[in-house]
Amino acid sequence: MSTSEAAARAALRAMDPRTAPTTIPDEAAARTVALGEDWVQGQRARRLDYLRNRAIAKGLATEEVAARLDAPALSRLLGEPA
Amino acid sequence: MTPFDALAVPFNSIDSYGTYFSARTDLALDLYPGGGALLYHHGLDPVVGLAPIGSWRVVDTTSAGVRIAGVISDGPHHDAIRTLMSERALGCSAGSAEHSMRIDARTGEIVTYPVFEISLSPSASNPDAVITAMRSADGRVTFLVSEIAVRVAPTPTVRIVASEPPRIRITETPRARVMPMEQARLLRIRTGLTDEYGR
Repeated sequence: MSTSEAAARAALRAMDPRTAPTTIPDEAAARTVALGEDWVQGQRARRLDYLRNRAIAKGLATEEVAARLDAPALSRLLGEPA
Repeated sequence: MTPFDALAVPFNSIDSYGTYFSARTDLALDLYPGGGALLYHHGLDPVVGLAPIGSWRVVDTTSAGVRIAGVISDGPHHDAIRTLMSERALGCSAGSAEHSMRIDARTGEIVTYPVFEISLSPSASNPDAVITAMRSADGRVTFLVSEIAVRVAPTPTVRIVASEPPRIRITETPRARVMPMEQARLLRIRTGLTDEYGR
């Protein structure tokens, strides 16, 4: 396994819900504050990171992954249900 | 309010932990007969936290897995999560508790996994757990995927080859059978399964 694959696997573990560092959510705020565009952008970025790491962990070349700049292209590269 | 359909627990599909659900997995789906809580990213998102974003109920169990009908409830989270869902940026993830799970360490098959909640997540550990369709207030359906995966034999097959000396050949994990919707419909007809649209 290459260094980049190992790093991608470690990143996947870190962002996975079941192993991610536990944070104490501000539930009261979540119930009253609308989720804004910043939050949505953050989730899109998280999705993109996740797909990139999955592709690299799968052994795909980092250059090929970097060339796929958006989430749908990476999803197709990974052969996910379309 | 946004209703949606999802394949929440895909069978025979290996997740990023190397484990998989199967038709034999005890999911304890009768724990919440009226349906369960829908969370965002298992309550780990620092903004949304453990606030329920909706609810779900089981529709049926097919050879592909457990399908649910869910609803994103009205509230401060609704529009943002609906936006992400429409962009196919979210997957499904069933949540249980560490002490309640049992996994066959030899095969990776999840034996027991009481589903205590189901989450929508941008980084779900199983890409086959997909949101298949979402609905608008007037009942219009938007399909988010055009195919579903029916996976078989998730573990590598160990085959003894009749030669001297005996040797063991590990074959590749079979590729998923990804079926177009029409083919899946025909399979459902052959197997006597129908979905909530009666197809």
